[in-house]
Amino acid sequence: MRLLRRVLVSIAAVSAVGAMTAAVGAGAAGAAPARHAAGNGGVVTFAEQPGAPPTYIFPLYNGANSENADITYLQPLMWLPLYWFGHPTSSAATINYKLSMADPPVFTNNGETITMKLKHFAWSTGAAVTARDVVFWMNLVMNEKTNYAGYVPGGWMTHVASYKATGTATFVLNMNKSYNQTYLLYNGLATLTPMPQQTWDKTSSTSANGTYDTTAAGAKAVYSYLNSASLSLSTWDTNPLWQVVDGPWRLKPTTGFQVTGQVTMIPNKKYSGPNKPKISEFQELPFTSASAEYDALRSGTVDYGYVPTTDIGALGSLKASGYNVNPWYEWGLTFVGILFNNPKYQALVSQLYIRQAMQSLINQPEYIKTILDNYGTPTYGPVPTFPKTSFLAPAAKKNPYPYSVSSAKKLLSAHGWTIHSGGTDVCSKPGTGAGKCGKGIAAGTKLALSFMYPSGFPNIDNEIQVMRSTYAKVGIHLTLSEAPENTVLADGYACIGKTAATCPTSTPVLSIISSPVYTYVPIYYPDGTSLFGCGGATNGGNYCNHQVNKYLTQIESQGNAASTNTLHTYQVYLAKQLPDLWFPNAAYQISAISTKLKGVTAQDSTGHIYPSTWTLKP
Amino acid sequence: MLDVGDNILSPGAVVLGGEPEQPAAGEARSAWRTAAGELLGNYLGVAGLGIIVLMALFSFVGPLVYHTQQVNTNLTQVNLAPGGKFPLGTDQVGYDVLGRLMVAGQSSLEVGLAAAVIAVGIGTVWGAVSAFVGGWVDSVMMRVVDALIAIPTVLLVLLLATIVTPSVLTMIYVLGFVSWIITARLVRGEVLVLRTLDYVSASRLAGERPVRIVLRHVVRNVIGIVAVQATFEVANAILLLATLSFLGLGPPPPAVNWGGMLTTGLNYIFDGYWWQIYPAGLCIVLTVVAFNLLGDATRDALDVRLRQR
Repeated sequence: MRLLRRVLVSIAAVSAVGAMTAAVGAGAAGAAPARHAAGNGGVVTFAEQPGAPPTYIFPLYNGANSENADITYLQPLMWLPLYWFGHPTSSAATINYKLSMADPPVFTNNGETITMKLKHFAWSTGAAVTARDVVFWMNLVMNEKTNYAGYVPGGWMTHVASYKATGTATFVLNMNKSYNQTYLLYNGLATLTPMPQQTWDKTSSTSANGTYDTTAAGAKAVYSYLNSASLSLSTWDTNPLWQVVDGPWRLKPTTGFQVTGQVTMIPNKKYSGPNKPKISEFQELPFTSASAEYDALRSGTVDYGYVPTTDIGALGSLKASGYNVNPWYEWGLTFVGILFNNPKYQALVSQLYIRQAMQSLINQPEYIKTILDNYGTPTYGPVPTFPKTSFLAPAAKKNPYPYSVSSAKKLLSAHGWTIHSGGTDVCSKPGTGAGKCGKGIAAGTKLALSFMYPSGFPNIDNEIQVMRSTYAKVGIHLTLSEAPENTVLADGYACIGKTAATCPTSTPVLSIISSPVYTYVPIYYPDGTSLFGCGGATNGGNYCNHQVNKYLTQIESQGNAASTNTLHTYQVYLAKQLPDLWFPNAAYQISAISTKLKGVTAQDSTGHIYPSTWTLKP
Repeated sequence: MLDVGDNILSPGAVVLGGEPEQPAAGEARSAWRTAAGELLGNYLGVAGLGIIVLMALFSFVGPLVYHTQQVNTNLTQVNLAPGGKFPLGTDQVGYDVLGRLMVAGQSSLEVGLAAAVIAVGIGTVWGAVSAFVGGWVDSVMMRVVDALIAIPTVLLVLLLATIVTPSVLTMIYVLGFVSWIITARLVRGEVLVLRTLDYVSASRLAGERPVRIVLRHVVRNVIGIVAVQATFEVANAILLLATLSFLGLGPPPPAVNWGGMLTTGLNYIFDGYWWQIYPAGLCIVLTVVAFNLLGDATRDALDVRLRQR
């Protein structure tokens, strides 16, 4: 889902010249974290990703405000979702009922009625978290669907018939369609987040609390107020709204947030759930560059940070200075996007054999070993190969197109291409029959493709250089262009929803952004409907395969066993169809964790962090 | 001994108050010979020239002698330390660093020299026309220069580099078009002095067309300043190319330049891969310093006030 918000952010950003000045400043020194003296329980410092400070505190966030800094590092520490995904002790991206605010949902009425019973949780005001707080969330999100990052057109929200609180702790959701239970839990119920109706149901800072959310106009007004309060970053730590929490943490009043992105949290004394905080303060520190963060790490001012991938060779000194180093993988995918409706290249990339040849020239194991220093996992299809889950079909654990230069050559020459190793292949047998280049490819057409990738990511740069070189061996010419990541994103989505007639030929036919390209957060079910379904919200390449759509429809509506079987069949099929080029999934970050910081037993692939389980050794 | 304002290329024309005369070919050659003699007598200048020649030989002749694979990457030999097979080791995708330096030098020198030619060409014409015509034309042209000076060069380069598709050729144009401003100012200042000299006035009175006066008498007399400035512009262009590459806006692979190599090497600064950093940095420093030394020496040789003898 990160892809969608990245697109939204980038489209706005690219048009501004300021983006370039930001790029100039990117190398500037980062924040200079001043480590506070440890108080009762100690102060733990945690490094935010470079150039990605929190920008949104309201847990009903849109695509443009859904960086990890917002949706996994900030909001869930203060406002818990009804169902928690991820684990503090493993990297599994699965439902965690122990940390959830509700018991497992009960499906009745042919699966169209879902009853959720809340456990006992309390707001920091002392009031209990009730089903009315879930209704409050639903009222806002149903009236502001397009402003919610978890909304997928035609998805479960479209099929909500009604919802209500049937008791203080019982919330009932009625659907007009029967969904697969796991699918609905992972993609729909996972997004429900109780919000303090008693204090947030207002339309301005001066209005009295009421029940504005019960009408469409009122719900929109409430959303508008809370959204504007969230956009006022300088008032986060002084606005009483954000002090009402049900999670283990709250912002430190008056000094809990700096607009540069520094967050200081203190324990919520009224927190009634599991894992009560043991440290006295939790700080998240912003950095403008990975090197600035690394400098802070080496100086010992960060307890939980990360090592730039290019500095992996220097881990020895870091370990010697008291850090454990562990890779953190996200529940996501990395791939080279293919633009299927660029008129200049459409005929070429529409040919499956050309995509197969290109895929078999990507040596994922070697990239992972040599370029990523083994801090990566392969991507073979729509379901991540790591962490291991039952979603991953046994047949999908293997590379459908192992690295083979000779196979690529054979494929191309068998389809009418004259191979020019080191040069550019030429179609010598046009036409649509066996042994011909394929529909729309004229005689003399050269096998040359444009490829855009982001600047500032050394590992991607190295991978693309190797890829270009390997492709050249079989005569596939890649014209490379490097650009800031936001530009790559904007170009990669320039033709979404367009026909070939309206898609500019200058749009790169191949593109990649930093790894992982797509994360299954906060929609955890790994089918990739919005990525690979016809007209999907994040289907930037406009890939459309009706067999894929048929599978996707079955997955979301069949019973659990049948749905899982279909998911397995689908992922094997899609992996071979190559809607994009599968690419190694680099670690989200190579974490460096102070040996004084205890309790970090695993890194959650959903991106969540668990500072309430951490302690700091004096 | 020549006086200030002497016409080096047309010494006959500097007889104050006299008729402008066409220089005898021998006299012009003599003036150049004198300047060349001065230049060759300047040890630092000779050193600069020598380094430039060596760098050019290294970059353009070197690959003919030292054969390396600079097209295909090789992941089986990445980040190897200097040794027998690879005198300067290998980089992060398996290229031989010594061979890479040679290929990179071609781009750096080509871009530096070509961009400098464009820069001094535009700057000279702009400054000369502005000063010679004077009046509102001068005001407008100089305000344009002032406005461009007010914009940081790097920002201007970034703007242009994001508009065009980076390649060696486009980099030459981009760097050339942002580097002419200083030359224009220098030339204007010089021409403001030259235009008041008698031989220019005499040319006017003789009915020579302004364009001919500018090209024949004015521009030729600022050639010394231009030559000096050109050497500095080469150095600047090489550094700007390095800056662009540092920001990821340089020519994409397989093109390579010293700045790009340095940037890539810096990513591995904590890994101890010094051979990916120092050689490229040294090439840049040496070349830039060499062009600056040559520039200083050229100025000394062409400016009679600065001659040692």
